[in-house]
Formats: sequence, structure tokens, C-alpha cells
Amino acid sequence: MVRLHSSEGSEFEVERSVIEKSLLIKNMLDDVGENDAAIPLPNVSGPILAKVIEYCEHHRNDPDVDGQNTTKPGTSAGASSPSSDDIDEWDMEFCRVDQGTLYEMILAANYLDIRSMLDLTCKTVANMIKNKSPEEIRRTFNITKDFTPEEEELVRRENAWCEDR
Amino acid sequence: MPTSCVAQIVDEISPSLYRDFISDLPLELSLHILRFLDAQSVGRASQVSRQWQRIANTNVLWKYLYQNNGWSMDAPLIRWYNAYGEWIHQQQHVNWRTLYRTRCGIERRWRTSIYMIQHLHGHQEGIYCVQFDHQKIVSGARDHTIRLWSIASGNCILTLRNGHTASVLCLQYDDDILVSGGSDAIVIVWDMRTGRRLHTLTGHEDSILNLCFDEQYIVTCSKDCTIRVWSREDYRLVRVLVGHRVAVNALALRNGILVSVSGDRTFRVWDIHTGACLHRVYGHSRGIACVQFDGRRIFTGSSDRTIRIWDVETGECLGTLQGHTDLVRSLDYDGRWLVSGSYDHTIRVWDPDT
Repeated sequence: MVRLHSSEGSEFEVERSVIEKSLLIKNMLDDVGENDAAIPLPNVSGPILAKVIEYCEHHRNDPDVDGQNTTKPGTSAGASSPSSDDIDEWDMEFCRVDQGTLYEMILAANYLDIRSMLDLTCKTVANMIKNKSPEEIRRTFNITKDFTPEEEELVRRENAWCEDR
Repeated sequence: MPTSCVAQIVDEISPSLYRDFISDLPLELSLHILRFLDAQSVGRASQVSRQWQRIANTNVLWKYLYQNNGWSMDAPLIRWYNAYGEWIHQQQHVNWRTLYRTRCGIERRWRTSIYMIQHLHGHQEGIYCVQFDHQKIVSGARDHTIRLWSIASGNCILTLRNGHTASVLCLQYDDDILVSGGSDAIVIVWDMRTGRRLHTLTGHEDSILNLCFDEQYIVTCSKDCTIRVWSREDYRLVRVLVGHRVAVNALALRNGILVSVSGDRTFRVWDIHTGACLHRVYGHSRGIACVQFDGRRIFTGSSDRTIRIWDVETGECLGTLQGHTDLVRSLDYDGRWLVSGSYDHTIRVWDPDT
């Protein structure tokens, strides 16, 4: 078992094979070997760390595609474009959280280097943007439009070509 | 609870209900989100706010979207886009968004048959053959001449006379040589840079209907039913391929594999190095006029009005493209679109992958 300390000092215990989905932790364990000392994760709060562990538990038996089947630019094959439509039900439900939590999950997945969870959380945000008008996107994320009317017209015209495909 | 109080509570908690992911996350992660979108959604995202606009216009994001469309990029292509007045290059820097946009526009024009006609005046009589690249067009005509044209200006740059004594029926060029064949049964090799005549290949007994060459061989086919293979280096006749029973109308050569089509309704696949005939296939119900070959698939056009797609390994027919109402005279394939010209006065654009 591996002990983890969240930013507020809460302690979590998790099987090594589960938490090794995190490349950061895997590398740490590989480097220092297993010992009793808890690993401090000052960038991850308790509730978010609980979500991370939930994710790793559920996906513990997934084929180890991290590092291969990623969507890093330049590494993906031209034909198989990444899609945000291929999220399964469990993952969808897992990401049904408020925006603040989702935001923290993205940062945690990135920090802990769990590539598939980073992709999942980023796809979830992408789906919140997809097929929406600029105004609908602003409403979705409570964003204030800071364009002047002239700027807005200009940027609209600059992007008109994206519409007629 | 008074309404004002509720409003105050809503004001206080709403920042935690919403999050401006794209503006607040580190740029690398914002881009990782936008990468899962299509160009249309990215275009809309850039209209959300100034910060979203900055991030959605990031060059590396458009590079990713471009490559993810399966589009490749080569230097001549970029120069070509530049010739169309788009700002793409700045000190070795590619503006991927502009490139994407230009590429989209071209794709759209292919799909919707929006085009512009520009006439190039010079030939005295009908034109039988043409090849072009990003800068120039080379044409051969019934008036015995070959002309080089600038695409940018539309002007004729060079006219090759004093070569053929009859119609120029076929030609091919690369950076070094231009090879032409005519109704006069001769094949002429020209210096592509100077326009000087380098050599004349004689031996065919009737019109040269088509030719092609690679680094090693020049291959010609004729109304005399034969195919002749010549050494590109010293113009020596390497071998004569016989088998077709009537005129050999067209050739395609790739990776040492030669495909020939004939009025005898067959196409043949040859090993250019040994001269062995690998396949002989009755492809159409009438004579075959034209051929294209991508190394894997063979496309043939026939006077039976159809275009057929064949597997080069097995000789099996993979599909039939129907639509033309008269002989299919010419075919071209650029790796994406198959374009056919017919005696029915139409040009059709096909997507051979669907």
C-alpha cells in the first residue's frame, strides 16, 4: 500500500498497482523504492485526490496505453483524429461534477501525469464548448464579453470561413 | 428570504459554479482542450472573449488541427499558396491557421465545383496532352509544338518547335527532362532547363499514344500494339513488351510496376525490370482509354463509359464508377480526388475512397 497526503494533510491509502496509473507517483516509487513515508501532494486537495483514486481504481485493469495512445500533438496518426465523442458511460458520470471540481481534476491529472484522465477531463470541457454559439459558450462558463462592438464584428468576420464547410 | 439577499448569495457562490477553463488553465492545458474540437468550434471559441481569441489563434493548435485532418504539407505547396497572395510564410514560419483556411477553401471548391476559367492563347490547333506543377503548365498540340506556360501570369514562356513533324500526343516532364511522343512515331527527349533537344528515340512503327518515365526507364506505347522500354541514362532500347492485340492507349508506372491499357479491352501489369507480365485482365466491355495507378489501386477509364478500380496485387475489381454518358478519355488522381474527362463534355470529380 502507498500512503498519500493531500494538500490539507488528509491521508489516503491506496494499492501501489492502482496509483501507478500516475506516472509521477510511479516514477517516485521506482526511484525511492517503497517505504513507509507518505507521499505529500501539496497541489492536490482531499476531495480531488479522492476523485483521482476513484478514477484509478475503476481503470486499474485497463490496458496500459498511457504514453502511447495519447493525443499529444505530432504523435497522433493522421487518420485517427481524436474525438471527444468516445467517452463511455462510467467516465461520463465520473465527470458530472461542478466546473470548479472539473477544473481541479484537470490540474491534478496533469500534475500527477495520468494521461487518460487528462484526456477525459479535457474532452469533457471540449464537449461543453462544441456546437455552441459564442454567446452560448459565454453563458456556459459565465464569461463576460470584453470585445467592443467593432472588435466583435471583426473577429466574427475573421472566423466566418470556419462556418461554411 | 428577501430577493436582494438571494441575489447576493447567488453572486457570491456563482464564481465557484463556473470556471473559465480556457482563460484560467495554463496555456498548454487550454490547448489540450481545444485540440478535441473541430475548426468550426475553434472558430466560434475565438469569438468568446479577447483571451479566448488569443488562445484559439495559437499557431501550434492550428498546426495540430491541420495535421489531424490528414493533410500533409510540403514546401512547394506552401509556395503555391503564397502565390495566391495569402500570408503564410514569414521567415520560415508557417501560419497554420491561414494554411488551414486556404486548404479548406480548396477542399470546398473541389466539392462544390466553384471554379474560374482562364484561357491561355497560343496553340494554333487542338491540345492533346498537358502536365502542370505549382508554377507552370506544359502542353502538346496538334500544331506540332509544345508550349510552357506560367501559371502566375498566364503567359507562354517557351515554345518547342522543330521537333515533331506531326501532332504531339503525349508528354511528361520532371526537373531535368521533358519527353514527348507524337503521331510521327518518334519520341523526343528535351532538356527541361534549356529547351534543347537531347535525343530522339525511334523504333515504334505508328503513333506514340502515351509515355511515362521514372529515374531509370522511359516507357512508350504505340498504336503499333507494342510497349518499348528505354534506358533513361543512355537512351538504349531495353526491351519491347508485346501482348496487346490492338493499340496500347495508355501507361502508368510506379515502383517498378507498369500498367498498360489497350483497345483490346484488357489491361496488363508488368514487372518493368524483367519484362514479365504479372496480370492480364479483361477489364471493360469496350476498349480502355486511360489509366492511373497509385501503387496499390489501378483506375481505368473506358469507352464503355465507366471507370473501374482494381487491386494491383490480385487483379480484382474493387469498384465501378458510373455517370459519364460517353467514352472516358482521361483520368488523373492526386492521392485524394480522381478526376475524369469524357467525350460527353463533362469533367467529373470522384472520391475513390467512398
